Amino acid sequence: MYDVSYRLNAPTCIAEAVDDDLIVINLVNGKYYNMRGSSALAWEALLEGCTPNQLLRANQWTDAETQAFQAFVQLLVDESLMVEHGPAGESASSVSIVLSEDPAPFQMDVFTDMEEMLRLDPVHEVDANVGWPHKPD
Amino acid sequence: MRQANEDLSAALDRQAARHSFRSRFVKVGPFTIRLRTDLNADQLALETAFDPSPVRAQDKPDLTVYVACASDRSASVLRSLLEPLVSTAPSGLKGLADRAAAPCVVMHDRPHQLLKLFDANSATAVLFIGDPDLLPGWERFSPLKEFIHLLALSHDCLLLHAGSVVDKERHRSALLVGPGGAGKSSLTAFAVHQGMRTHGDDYVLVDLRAAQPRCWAIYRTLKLHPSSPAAGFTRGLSRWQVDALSQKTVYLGTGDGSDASAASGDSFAAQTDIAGICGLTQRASTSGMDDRARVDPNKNPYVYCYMSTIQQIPYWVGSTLQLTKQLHQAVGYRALSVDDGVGGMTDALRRIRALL
Repeated sequence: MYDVSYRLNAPTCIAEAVDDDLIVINLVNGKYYNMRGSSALAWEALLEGCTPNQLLRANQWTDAETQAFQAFVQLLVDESLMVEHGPAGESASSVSIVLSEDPAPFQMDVFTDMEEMLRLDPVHEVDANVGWPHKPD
Repeated sequence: MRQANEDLSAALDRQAARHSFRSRFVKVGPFTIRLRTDLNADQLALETAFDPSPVRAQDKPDLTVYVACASDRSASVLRSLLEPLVSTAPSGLKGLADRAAAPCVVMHDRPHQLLKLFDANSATAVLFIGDPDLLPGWERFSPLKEFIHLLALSHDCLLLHAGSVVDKERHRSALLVGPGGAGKSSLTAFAVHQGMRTHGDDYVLVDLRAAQPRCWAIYRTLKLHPSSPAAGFTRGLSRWQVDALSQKTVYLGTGDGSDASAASGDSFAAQTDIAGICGLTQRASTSGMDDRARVDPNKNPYVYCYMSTIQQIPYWVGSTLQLTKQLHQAVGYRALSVDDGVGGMTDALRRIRALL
């Protein structure tokens, strides 16, 4: 899985970068994700066609940082945010990601508070007394 | 599909003429909506919650909304026009993620016997009310919310889940965002009591078509639960009614939103420049906050500000994300923790005034 390139799992997922935040929403299961710092940079590099191994080779990360990056890539795949796209893109260039000022490299916040809600049909399965976005008891 | 929609629009128009639907025009921010209501729907007075400014009749409003009740004699024809669309319209967040895939959005609220249809191509919407007695409070206090959301997105504007306070001298507003229970309504009411104005406590319309984002009022309603720390602070508000389900008292902002109205002490403001966005959290008591309160407004400011808007009306999510991004980058943001009670609200208001 580290020698292939990835693409956004659209249209199941949509993503938007806002300043230092990267937001991804899975429109099927209702989970949403917030990445900042190194994780947002790695996401961007992967979507530009870098393979995980290209990123690893381009950066002198410690063993712990390498493991964090690999776990990050695994999570992107497990959560179906990215899917395999093929071999490394011809135009893909390696990206340097400096981790020295990132206290928690490759961290991704996963929010599930809307998961159950957004799996509901917004107008069919709601609390009859208070309405959407409150789910029935 | 376009032909079918034009046929629907023409058929609705014929029905409205045949059954003497009443026609009213309401102002929704920079847009004009023509409300065409049958005899029974007309008695619901849905226009009460909107900006009371007089609006001239227009041949081509931004949106025409037909509102019909099943108890009216026009009902069976309207229902037969709409029902085929319910089964063929896209559904789910993915199917309704953008306008290109879903220019026609059908919403069927079976518990309340409501059928809603919005068609972007013909600028037509329909609210079919199966039983007026089942019409929930939020359809009176924030009526046609889904239609306004989709209308706004069609014009690069945004319906935002936010309260608002307005500096009436500087014509600038601060938007108060946060999950349910964060204190948007309480702080808005308290600010109005202290002489500020408001565009409403729950939803505003943000116009992003100019360099300086502007905030427009949609509804002039403000809802306060008896347990709110602002329950006794209602100067500048006119009591409307009590919502039987939530037990909240619903107030109306006073005046017509004009400068002259502001000079005489009225609280309702029609439009202002947006000075900033405040992510509200209650420092001491979080018992009333919903699950989204777990999001850290300092660490995840974008998520804290805007996911509740997506959660409230999860249609055309892609466009909502793009426009909230534009807003977030255009105006300043600060997290604002509010202590319990009057002291907490007073301190929060002092910091908001500094922002304005």
